[in-house]
Amino acid sequence: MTTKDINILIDRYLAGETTPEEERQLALEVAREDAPTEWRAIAEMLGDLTLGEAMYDDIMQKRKEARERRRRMWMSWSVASCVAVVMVVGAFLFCGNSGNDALPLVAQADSENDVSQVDSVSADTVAGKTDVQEKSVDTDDASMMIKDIHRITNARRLYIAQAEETDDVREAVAGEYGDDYAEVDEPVMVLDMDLEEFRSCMANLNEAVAVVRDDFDNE
Amino acid sequence: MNRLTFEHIAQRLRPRIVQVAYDFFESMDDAEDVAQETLVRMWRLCERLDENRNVEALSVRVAKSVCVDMYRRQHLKVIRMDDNGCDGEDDTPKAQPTDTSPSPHEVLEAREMQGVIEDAIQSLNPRERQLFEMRQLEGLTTEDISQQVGIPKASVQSMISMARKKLFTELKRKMSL
Repeated sequence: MTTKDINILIDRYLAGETTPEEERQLALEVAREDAPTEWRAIAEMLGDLTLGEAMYDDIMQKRKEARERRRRMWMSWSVASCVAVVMVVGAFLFCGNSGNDALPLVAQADSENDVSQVDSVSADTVAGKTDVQEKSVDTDDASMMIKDIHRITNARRLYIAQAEETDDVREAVAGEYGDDYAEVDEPVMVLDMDLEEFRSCMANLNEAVAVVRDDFDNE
Repeated sequence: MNRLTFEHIAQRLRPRIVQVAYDFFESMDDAEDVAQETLVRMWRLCERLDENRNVEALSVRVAKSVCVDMYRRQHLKVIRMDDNGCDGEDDTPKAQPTDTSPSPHEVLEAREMQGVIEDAIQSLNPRERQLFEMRQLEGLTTEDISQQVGIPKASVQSMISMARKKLFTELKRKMSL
């Protein structure tokens, strides 16, 4: 408070207009070591009780603020630590499941008879000698592509790659396989890609599927 | 208020006083010390108060004041290294405790000032003195005083103002300000 503010408050105190809280505030101001001499009478009138109560409240308030600052700092550190752990785990999972090839894992199939793991989009890694039905594949329809992969690899369960936080891709992947999709009880691989990238991956996978189909046809 | 009445009231006030002190020090030992000192001060105050006063509100204010006094005594005692206090043998500075308690002159001056204030308060008319003390000791708002005493708020404010201005004039005269 400025000297002018304090003098105004003193005038209001003498006029009986101040509240008990304002009087406690005034007691702190007029008790300062550098307070003008003419404020001493006001300090004596306010008395030790008002000053003591003001100092008590002031100390308690400062402690509360210090505790709050420590709590906010601890929360910030906790959140930062959690984020760091999630990022490390996520990177580990992502790097651990990505193949040697440039393209990321887009599907992982598991079956009783044959485990066909498409860890890279190359024809050699697509296995599964089941009946193949010729079918033209619509590369723009992700759900159809998943259905083909499922049929070819005789997969019982299909881990479906989906773009992170992209509802369009999830809907495309679910498609007619809504029930199967719902039955997937293993965690799906979450890749950081948008719908266009996903379609591109699926298009590449479709090429591999076509190669396998040709191989079957030629056997 | 007689001693017997005060002893009865003190038992009722003690838990609240201990709570106020414990909130501050977070130590039961310190809280008990505060409670003891508070009740001593309360006895001195209650000798001139009637039984109808809100002694609980007064006891909380006194307890807070005692907490601050104890806190200042605990934290303002410093060990001052005397630059010239080397003992000469290994040049280790000698530590000397500094007494922060008021000097006899300061104690006398404080007592004189307290006497001046009490005389000035006694010179007020009974209603002015009652309202002044209700505000000063119990910390009641103008509204609370108005409700308890049964006079309009504007009248309470006016009488408190007159009391304060009388005291202010008398104190400035005695303090030669």
